[in-house]
Amino acid sequence: MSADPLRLQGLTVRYGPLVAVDGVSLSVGRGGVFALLGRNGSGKSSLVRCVLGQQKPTAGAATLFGEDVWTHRARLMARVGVVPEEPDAPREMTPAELAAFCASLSPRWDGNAFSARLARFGVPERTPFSSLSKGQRSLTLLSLALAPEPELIVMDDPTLGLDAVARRALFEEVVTELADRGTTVFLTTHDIAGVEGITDRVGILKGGRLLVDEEVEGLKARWRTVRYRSEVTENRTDFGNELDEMSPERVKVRGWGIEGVVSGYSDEAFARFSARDGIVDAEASPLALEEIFLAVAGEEKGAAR
Amino acid sequence: MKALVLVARREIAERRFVLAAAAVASLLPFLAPLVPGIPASAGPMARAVVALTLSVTFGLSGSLLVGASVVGRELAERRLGFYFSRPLPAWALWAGKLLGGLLLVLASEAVVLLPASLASGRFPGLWGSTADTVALWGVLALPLLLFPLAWVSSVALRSRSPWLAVDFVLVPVVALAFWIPTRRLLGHGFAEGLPRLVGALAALFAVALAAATFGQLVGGRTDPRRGHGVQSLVLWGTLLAAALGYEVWSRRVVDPGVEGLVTAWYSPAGTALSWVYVSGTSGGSGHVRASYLVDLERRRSVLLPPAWGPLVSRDGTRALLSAWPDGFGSGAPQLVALDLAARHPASDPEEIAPAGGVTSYDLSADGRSAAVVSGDTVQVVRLPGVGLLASVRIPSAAESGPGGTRWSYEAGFLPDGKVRLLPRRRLWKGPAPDSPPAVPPPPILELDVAARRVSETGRYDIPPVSGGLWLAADGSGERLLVRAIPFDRTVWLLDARTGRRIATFEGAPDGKPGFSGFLADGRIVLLERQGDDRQVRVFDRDGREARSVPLGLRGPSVRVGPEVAPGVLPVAVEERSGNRAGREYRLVLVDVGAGRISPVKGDLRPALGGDWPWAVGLRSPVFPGSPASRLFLDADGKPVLLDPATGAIRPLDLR
Repeated sequence: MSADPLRLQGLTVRYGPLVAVDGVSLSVGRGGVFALLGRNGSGKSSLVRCVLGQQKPTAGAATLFGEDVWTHRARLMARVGVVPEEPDAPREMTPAELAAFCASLSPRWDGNAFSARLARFGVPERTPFSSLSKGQRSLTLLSLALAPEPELIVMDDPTLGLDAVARRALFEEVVTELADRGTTVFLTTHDIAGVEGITDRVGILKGGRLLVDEEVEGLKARWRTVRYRSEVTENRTDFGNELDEMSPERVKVRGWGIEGVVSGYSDEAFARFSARDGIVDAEASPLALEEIFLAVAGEEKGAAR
Repeated sequence: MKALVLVARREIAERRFVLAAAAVASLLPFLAPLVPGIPASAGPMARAVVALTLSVTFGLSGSLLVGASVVGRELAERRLGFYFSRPLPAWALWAGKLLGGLLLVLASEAVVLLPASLASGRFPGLWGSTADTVALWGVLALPLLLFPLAWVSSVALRSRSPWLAVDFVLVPVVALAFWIPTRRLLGHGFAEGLPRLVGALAALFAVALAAATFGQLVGGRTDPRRGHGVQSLVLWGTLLAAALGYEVWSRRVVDPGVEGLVTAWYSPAGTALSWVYVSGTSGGSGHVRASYLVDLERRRSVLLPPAWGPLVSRDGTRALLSAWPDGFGSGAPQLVALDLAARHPASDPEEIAPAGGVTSYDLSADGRSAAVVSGDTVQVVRLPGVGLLASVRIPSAAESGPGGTRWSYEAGFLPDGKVRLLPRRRLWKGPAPDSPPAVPPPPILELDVAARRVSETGRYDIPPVSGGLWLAADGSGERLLVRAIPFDRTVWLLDARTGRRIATFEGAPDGKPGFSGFLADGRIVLLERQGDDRQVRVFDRDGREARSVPLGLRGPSVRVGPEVAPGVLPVAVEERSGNRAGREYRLVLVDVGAGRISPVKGDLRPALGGDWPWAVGLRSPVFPGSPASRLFLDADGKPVLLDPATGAIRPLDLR
């Protein structure tokens, strides 16, 4: 059985007393798309640098295709395409020169595909990298990442600062790549809505700790917004404690009733909840991934109660 | 390798404007001759100077600017990830950036210099001398040091890591660690090898800096703090280890031990029976002259500061020498006294007088008094403490003779504590004339230390001399052998106090003057060369010829050592001339009483002696049979002790 394209085991990164990544373990199977979500400063970029063998973790290990990436970085990078958070190519090189440089290093290089992508993106090949727009630079790096036909693509918030058109172009290209070659993707992003349609597994990083690592479908299945009115007012110690069976993450009292976000939703639990005395007009609606992220990483649990 | 070349090419391409600027600058030297005031004849020189100045400017500023930006800027701007995201080995990235940056800087130097050099026909020379060219290459090669220095400094300053504090602390520590051995070497006259040492240290620093840049990029990758940490560890670790090695090496160079001297000269250290003075060059590339006083009896050696003319008292407790106590270049040389009974005699020298004007000095037998002749004054001081016992002017030493000459006096303690002063050398105010007029030497004097008075005791009973005199005293100091300088065939035997002539020895008419000296029992020996052969002539105490011993030894030079046993002289003849390594000696022991010659096996020669005798000035000969008299050098120039009775040889085993 071949090893997972990406696996982290107890990965920890410290900067002096600051713990940027705290014992993160996860794996991404072949052909999977893993989106790591987190707020600014949650440790995503440190984690990505460890994944790429650019930074040595303080503890734990990052392996790509079963090999330690710190030790075998150069060899492994032949199988990996990288799109960084900040377009980091040398300023004065044109996309064509960048392609020539990278092609010399890569065992496989599809120059036609590279040129075709640039043409699709509307990126001029003979303009210095520093003269390209932010979106063009990101798309150039995406093209560079895809040209060697990688088995794994690592993207660190690739849409940061891009306009809607560039964002869409970037994700469409990734979707096409997935469809064509079944490439494994590991990305971090703030653009949760953008990746919702393409990712099949998400992780949510908060304060360096991985709070969520789950299939998107499963995640979305157990997260719901539950709205209801309560006619029972005696013996109440707090609003919403009737949701406890469904693991309420956030409960708010609205003018029309109570609204709670729960992370332990199931049809059976909701049926039992709806049948309770005094609970009327109960309804459950699914959450978008972004709402789930906000519920997990946005505020302290129960802060709005 | 392909990746390395790729990165190097990219570095050069990125900064190709440097080469363009250099190409423009290369034309400027051709405008130099047009500057008003520069004569036409000086035009080529002006062009070359401007070209060199511009080239060096490009090299130095380029290495600093390119070195500071080649990684430091990309690291700070988080742009290194581009390279580390590719299948590009870290070593290739490091080597490519280093090579590319250095090639760019060195190429810019060459581009600036080339047109002017082509015009003058010299690259990169200016003044036509080899030394200048070497220095020029050194200056042009400075980017090899400055480029990695700028790289390292840039990373250190941009990383904002706590390692910066470590760097700031270790900079002066490492500087001190390298300065201490350097100062030691300079203090011991390390001058000949200095350019090579400077070059080696520069290369060492360049290698350490390059290793640090390697550690920074390969070990730290895109992590500035980790990179800085690895860089500091490699740099300071390398330099401190090198400084430790340098310290050990410098100690070894200035103190290689007597057996460690590559070439050495041995001479008796005055009247002490077992002490010899050994001076030579240390091994390796140091070219340091190391000097020792060696007590052969106790198999002990004392490393001396840079010095000359050491003299040990007869009881072996004190030495007198002219030295730079704090090393060459640290003030003026001083006449100093060393307490040889101390654990580290050279660590606490007693300064007696500035050595510059001293012409003669002697120690009393017990080492408690020193007599010093300086100019026209003789002083006697008590040791230790340098208490002045007497300071008396020598009128005859100041008197002007024909041509503005005066005489220097040789001082020697007498058994009763008085100091005998013997005129020895003629001194001219200016350069000595080619044919100076002959003059009678001034009187022999004695200094009564207690009365602080100099009195005349006699005059040499010899004809006027044009140069100085060679003197040798017998063991009791009562008689003198005197020869005029330059040597002729005549040797006079005089009473040392009155100057009365006891005998005159005339060499054979066809003979050449050679060795002459006293034996320990007062007999006199002369070595003469007649044709290819040599003979030893022996005279009794009154100067009557007792025996002549033909040696049957042929060779270009001869070395006569001190008596290895009473009446037995070692004579070594060089059998084959050539370079030093090719010399071979044939040693015989000459029993001057019996007229017997005994060959000694082995390629040995006396350590003390040579064409010049083993008793110099007023100093008594080495005691017959003492370890100093049995000291020989083997074929490799290493000191050995000879047993004259058995011919057995054993190495000199000093503790």
